[in-house]
Amino acid sequence: MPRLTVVFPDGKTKYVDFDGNPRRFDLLSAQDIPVEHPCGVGGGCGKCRMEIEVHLSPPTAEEERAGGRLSCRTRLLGDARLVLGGSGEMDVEFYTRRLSSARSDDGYGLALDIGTTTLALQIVRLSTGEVVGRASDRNPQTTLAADVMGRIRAATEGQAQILRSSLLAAVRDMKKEACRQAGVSPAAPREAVVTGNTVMLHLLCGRPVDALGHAPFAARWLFDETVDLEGVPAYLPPCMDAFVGADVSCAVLSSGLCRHRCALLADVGTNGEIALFRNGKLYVTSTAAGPAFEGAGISCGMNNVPGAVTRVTLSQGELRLATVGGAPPRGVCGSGLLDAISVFLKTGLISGSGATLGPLTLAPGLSLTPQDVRALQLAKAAVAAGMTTLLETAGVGWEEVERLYLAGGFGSHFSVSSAVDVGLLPAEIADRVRVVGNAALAGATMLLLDPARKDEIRRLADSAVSVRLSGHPAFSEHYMDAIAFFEE
Amino acid sequence: MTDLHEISLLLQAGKAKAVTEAVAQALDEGVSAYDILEKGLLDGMNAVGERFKNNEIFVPEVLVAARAMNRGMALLKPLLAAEGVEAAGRVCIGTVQGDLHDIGKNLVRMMMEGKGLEVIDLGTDVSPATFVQTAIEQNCSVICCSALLTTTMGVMGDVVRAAEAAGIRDRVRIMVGGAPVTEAFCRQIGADAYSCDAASAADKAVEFCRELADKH
Repeated sequence: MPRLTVVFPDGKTKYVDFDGNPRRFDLLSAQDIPVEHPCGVGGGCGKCRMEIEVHLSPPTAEEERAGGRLSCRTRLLGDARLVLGGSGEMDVEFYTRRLSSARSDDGYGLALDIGTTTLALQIVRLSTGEVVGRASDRNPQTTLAADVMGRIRAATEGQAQILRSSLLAAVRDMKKEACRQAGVSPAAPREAVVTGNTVMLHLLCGRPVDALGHAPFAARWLFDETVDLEGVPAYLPPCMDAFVGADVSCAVLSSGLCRHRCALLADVGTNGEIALFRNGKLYVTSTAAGPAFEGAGISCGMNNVPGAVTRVTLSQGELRLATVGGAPPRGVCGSGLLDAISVFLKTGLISGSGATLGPLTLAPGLSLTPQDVRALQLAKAAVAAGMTTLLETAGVGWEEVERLYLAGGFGSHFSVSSAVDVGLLPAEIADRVRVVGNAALAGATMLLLDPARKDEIRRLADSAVSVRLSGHPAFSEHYMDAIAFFEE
Repeated sequence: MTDLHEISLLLQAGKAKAVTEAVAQALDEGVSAYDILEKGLLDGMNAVGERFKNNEIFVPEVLVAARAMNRGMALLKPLLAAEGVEAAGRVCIGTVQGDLHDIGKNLVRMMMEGKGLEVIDLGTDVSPATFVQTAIEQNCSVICCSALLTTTMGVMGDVVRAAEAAGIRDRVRIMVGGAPVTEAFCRQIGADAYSCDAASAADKAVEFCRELADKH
């Protein structure tokens, strides 16, 4: 029987015996060896390229285009050897403000945010609100598909069970790790609050998601219910619409958005979710920004892993790069991409309309392509136009907005001035922006520490007006207006 | 005497008002509507398409150029009919059932109009039956399907099957496009062509229209 030898980044090896001529993807997923397949095993994105040797099928057209062997295409014809690159630990931002507890009972609780890309979990002491353990991981579903639409497709094509079980397994491991840090048994957390977007919560509960995949995008479940999470009662906070989930409800709760007369909250990720509170009324929307802000769909894009460029600044005409862990630059993450484009706009290598006028080199062997610039233009236009459309729907001007809370993946590396330079945010809001990190997890933790706030989040979600942007004529106009960087 | 190349350049710069004026002036001077269309408007949109393909310009620039073309076309249309000038072909286009994202589809429509094609825009959320029925009733040579979502692109396969069931596959070509669509997907569902950008889609549609016109 032929054998695949897998060499892990830490030097350990694993042998996988196989029959027939499987794709590398099939073998690795059967063995739970995590490899990202952002385009859903479609051969299209070229991101599952990896080093592999010996008995392989001839390269397919997709592989020639990607300039390497793709996990989702290469078939193994005999013994082969695969070397996995070291991706390292993901750098996940936790919300660090200590929350006060309204509870007097002893014991521990678990708060979990199921992001499309990243999972974050914390264990809190219920009587004090102290965070005693934390863990984060990549959402293992990413190996099947990068975005929510890809997950829906995978689920409807018979992989719902794998999506669910891989997620539960990752949560189990994270819980174990966080409890180890806390010095308590994994059985110690007696209750949980689990937040996430509408699709993630459906997948967690094993409920059908097909209706979420096409117009009219009707969500059959909006949660606000308690389910069993492997023996622990878990409260799932209310979602507001098919693409405005419990994560947004939780972020609205924890940011204190509704304490303002008028304020905005934007969670900038693959789906840009936006909430506007004004005079007692909550408007919410979501906009398909694409994965550029998470570094995906970008030729040299990557997550917050060691070597990812997080900041780019210009100092006396020279580029200065900061990377995760101070490692040599290997790629760019969302905040680094924003900075890089801002710098190239200043140095004139990118025109106001977005045309590339010279090589966009960040470091030797690390450059942006003209297509990367276009991808960022579409992403930032989607978020900017989403905010404009929401403000317009509520009849509000930017001058009225007391605060803009920015949640999500950018985290603390996010530069407001770069966001203004590229036109993601208008200049006039710059001094009223507050970066809040993982506000969804903070909201889940609040619900754990003060169950009375469930009424508050329920009221919030019930009263929310969801504005749908696809096919919205005003949104299309604003979107077109927002694509350019500046008027030339 | 109006320089028709000047009209092309004005269109490329997206100057709708100036294009309208120049077209009107050329007509006053007795230039044929056909010449103004070919050497002015379509020449301009052709250049826009090339620059778009080369990443020199982007969606908004195409949009303003297309707006300028439409203004000029409004003046030419009745005259072209009178001169007996026929469109390069007729196609119908829409986003497939369940998909409401039409920005890409609109871009393709503009590029196709810029190639002198007559485009019937069915809008968004278009059922396979509507695509096929339109192609039959309006005598379209090409059906163009657009999808932005991986969850809706499968409907394109239904369009192909509906066209087969209606027995029109020999005289109608089916083109597919949109962010998640690939060449391999196109082949898999039995569609005739995939295009990765709006300008290439327009070129392909013209090619199909010519091929079918020659055949019949």
